[in-house]
Amino acid sequence: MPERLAKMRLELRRGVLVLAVLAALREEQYGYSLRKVLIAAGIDIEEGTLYPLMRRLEGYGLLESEWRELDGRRKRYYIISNEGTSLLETLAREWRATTDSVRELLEGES
Amino acid sequence: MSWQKRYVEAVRRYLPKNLREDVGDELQSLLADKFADATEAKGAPLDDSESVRVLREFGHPLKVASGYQGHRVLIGEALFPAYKQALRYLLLGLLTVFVTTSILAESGALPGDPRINFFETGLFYAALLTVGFHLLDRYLRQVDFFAHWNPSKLPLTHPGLPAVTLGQSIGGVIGGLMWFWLLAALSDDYSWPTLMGESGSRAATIILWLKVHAVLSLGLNLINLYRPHWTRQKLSFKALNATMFAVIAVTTLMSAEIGRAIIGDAYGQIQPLTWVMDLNLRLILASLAAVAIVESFRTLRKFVDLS
Repeated sequence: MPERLAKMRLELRRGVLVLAVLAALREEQYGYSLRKVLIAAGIDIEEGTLYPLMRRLEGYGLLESEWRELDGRRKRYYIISNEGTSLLETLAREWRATTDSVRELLEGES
Repeated sequence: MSWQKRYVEAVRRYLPKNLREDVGDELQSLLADKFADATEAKGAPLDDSESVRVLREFGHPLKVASGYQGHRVLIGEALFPAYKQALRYLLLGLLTVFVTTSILAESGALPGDPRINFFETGLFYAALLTVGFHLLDRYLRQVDFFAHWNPSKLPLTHPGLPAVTLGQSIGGVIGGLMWFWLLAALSDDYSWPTLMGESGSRAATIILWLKVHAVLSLGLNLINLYRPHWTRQKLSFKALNATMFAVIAVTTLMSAEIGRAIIGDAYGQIQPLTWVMDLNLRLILASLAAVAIVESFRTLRKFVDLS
């Protein structure tokens, strides 16, 4: 894939990552399982990007986390907070409005 | 030490103290999941090359560590073009001073060795400029400057008077600072009697008036940085300043012995210039005076146009 296309694709997807992560974390996940959920949904995000992003969202108060033990290994579980849920609703509305507008533009061109 | 531990240690090294333990533990847990998955898929423990591939997928430790610290920049995108331009003009200005002082030092026209160390001085001023822009950037973010700008404050434009470009203003500021620095190196006399020509040293008086002119020019260039369009006030100020320079140049030109007037008075030990150098100096001064007079008239013409 040409480098420019790869960069633009990355830029296009970067904006929706927060939305995707918040939406996926309506159900409790640990980092590795969240990545699998996102990949299954067609969002292939680098681990080096996803895990720091989760920590930052937690820092903003949008996620909550706690360490727990599963199969003899400690894992950090994340879930969306109340503040995160209300932000997710707003972002989801924005997202739907934006995709509708872009879809109209794209269909108008074809 | 296992590949996972080596990797986590490498990331931890780039993390701030308050994140090292917590993020390190989480990375360890995430890597353990990833390696367990890869081992399960293979059906056997991973060898070294496979472990390396898994870690490469995870990302360079420096990049991963920087992700945990958010998006941090020294100078933001909005100010970066101005910073780059300022840096370019600064280095060009320093290079000019370096060449000038080197020529003066070689010709022996000035006492001592006035040469600047280009690399040391360049590094110092470049660092100062970077810190200045960084602080300005932080301040502008703090006050949310770009979100609160008011278009009604945009200056009026005139077709015959294009705005001063950012490059011209920055060049003017840096050039003005260099010029003042050079004048300050020639004389450190800032007294009132000297300004009024009562100190007995004509050279010191001329240099002090040149400093006054340099400070006024510097002020105009600083204003132009923020408000680049010409107004009647700014044009009259510029015309006055150009006239002042012409008067200084003509006064120096009229001096019976320019070499003594410029250098000899300030440094009594220096011999008067030879007649060839004296003639060259007179020609240069006459040209400068002519340029200043023309500039003054051109500015006044613009002043009338703007009216």
